[in-house]
Amino acid sequence: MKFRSSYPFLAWAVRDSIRQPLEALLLFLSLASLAAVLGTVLLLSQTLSHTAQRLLKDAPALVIRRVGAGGWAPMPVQESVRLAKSVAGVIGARTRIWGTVNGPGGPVTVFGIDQPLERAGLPDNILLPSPGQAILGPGVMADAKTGVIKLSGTNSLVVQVAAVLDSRTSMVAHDLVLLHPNDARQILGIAPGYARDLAVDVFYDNEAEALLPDLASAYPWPVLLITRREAAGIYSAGLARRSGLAYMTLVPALLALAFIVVGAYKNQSARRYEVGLYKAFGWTTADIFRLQLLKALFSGIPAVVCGLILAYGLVLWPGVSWPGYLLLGWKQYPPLLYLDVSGALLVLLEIALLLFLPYLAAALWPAIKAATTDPQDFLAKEFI
Amino acid sequence: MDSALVCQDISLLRRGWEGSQRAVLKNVSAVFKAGQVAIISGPTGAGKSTLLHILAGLLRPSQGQVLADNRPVSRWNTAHRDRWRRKVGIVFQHPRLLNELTVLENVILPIIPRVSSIARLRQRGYEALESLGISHLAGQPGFALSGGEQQRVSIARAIVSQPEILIADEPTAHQDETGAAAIIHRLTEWKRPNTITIIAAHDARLRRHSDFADRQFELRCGGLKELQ
Repeated sequence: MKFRSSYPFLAWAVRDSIRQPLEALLLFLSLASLAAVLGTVLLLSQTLSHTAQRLLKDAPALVIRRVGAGGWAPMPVQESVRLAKSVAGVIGARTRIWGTVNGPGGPVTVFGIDQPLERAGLPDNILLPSPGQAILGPGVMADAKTGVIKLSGTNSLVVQVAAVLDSRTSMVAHDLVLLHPNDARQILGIAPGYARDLAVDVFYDNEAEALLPDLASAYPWPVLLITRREAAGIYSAGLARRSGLAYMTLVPALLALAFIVVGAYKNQSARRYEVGLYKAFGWTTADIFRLQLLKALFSGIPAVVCGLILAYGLVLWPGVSWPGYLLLGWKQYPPLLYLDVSGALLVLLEIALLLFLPYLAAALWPAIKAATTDPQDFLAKEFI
Repeated sequence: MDSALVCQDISLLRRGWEGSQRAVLKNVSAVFKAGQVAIISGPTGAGKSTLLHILAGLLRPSQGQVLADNRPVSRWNTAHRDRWRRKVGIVFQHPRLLNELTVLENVILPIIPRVSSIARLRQRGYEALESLGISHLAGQPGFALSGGEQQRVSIARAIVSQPEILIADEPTAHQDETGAAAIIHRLTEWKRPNTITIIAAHDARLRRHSDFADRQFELRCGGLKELQ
């Protein structure tokens, strides 16, 4: 089958696509909407997975948490660090003071920060919070008039907002409130000289699990040890559950797609008479296939591209909140998500397989069938 | 050697409503030579349109064959006949215009895959319309035309590709005297040394132009007879 592409032929394909403008517009809107819905769900799932991987990549190799009968228990800072460093293979340990408390708009994560090391990943132009000051994540709402925020944990505290992190900072900073360690301890009910847990860096990341018995035996109290791999598993399970809920929206979308595909098939089948006419005028099967292919591409590609741009904006444009609210139940300002090239390509491939190929097949199949048949079958009314 | 379109012992059987087979054409043989205009007349239902469709490669005979330049066109597969049909211009008994398209767009339909510039397409379309005196209708949609105008547009569509074989089924149907005269005039002009023209005519106005037709045939009860 020889494919020649001439400008008049391309122009004709465009002209023929819009011969019935209302039908063409409806098809465009339907395909674009479907691409947007499918793209939003697939992109959201992809970006959540990628963002979690990216966050965990920067997470400590091991987290040590003291546990007691009632759950976690505060760890003495100096002794915990000393015991961790006594284990061969551990190259660094730092205590962390953090916990979940109530903010004005819902739960927030407070984090006591005073060491330069803990500033990793935060913008350089932000100064560490002094006592009575707070640095807020982009999803945390403070009183706009007074510039203060009230936090309620084990104890309540009102602090002055010193800065707000940029929305592009990181997904993890979304609901974060950075405080001076003493303020954080006060709200969380942690005594001075104690911390919530211990972040441990090891010499070889893949040997972290081998250090678990030594670390567990190094402490005189029961500890919970969580490796990065285990943390990744916990995140993945949570994401899979949320993504599973989001994927349920694909069911009506795929039904709508089936409806469009059947419509496109019937539309093409109804135009078999025209195919017969074209053939009577000397159009070959290749000409008709080429025309139908170009028409399907002219109708489909712009619609899918528009739908994908919309989906991309809904998922990745900072500040757009309702897809996360509807699909994942996020109640607050959405976090900034990340997407890499391979993830974007995967979504494109999925959209092509789910949406574009069925549409293309439905548009082309009846035309090919008609084009390979003698025109007499479609012009039967002419014969007397 | 001059080109020719030959019917060799063509028969066509059709199944009727009651299931029995009926011969629409019976052992039709004729030679249509280039440079000649042949008129096939006959009563309604005699099989004129069917014969023209067989000659145009739209329909396969039940028996016999059609030879174009000694090649058995009617036995070719669909793809080969599609390619050969580029040499054929056909005027259907009913105009069969695509209503959503303009007159010019309807006319250029046959040559779209074969012309490489839009300007050339338009030029050829206008030339074909001009030759039938209807270039002023170029921008109008097909459904806005009278029956006579539609038929003239369909003739323009048939000649726009400058076919080697022109097959016209009742081209003067639905025409008033002026329109019929314009069409006959145009078909007379179309009489060229390398073109085979075959016209089915129920219309006495066409048959009266004996100077226009080189050969006249009569199709009656499925049998073709050349009139002297």
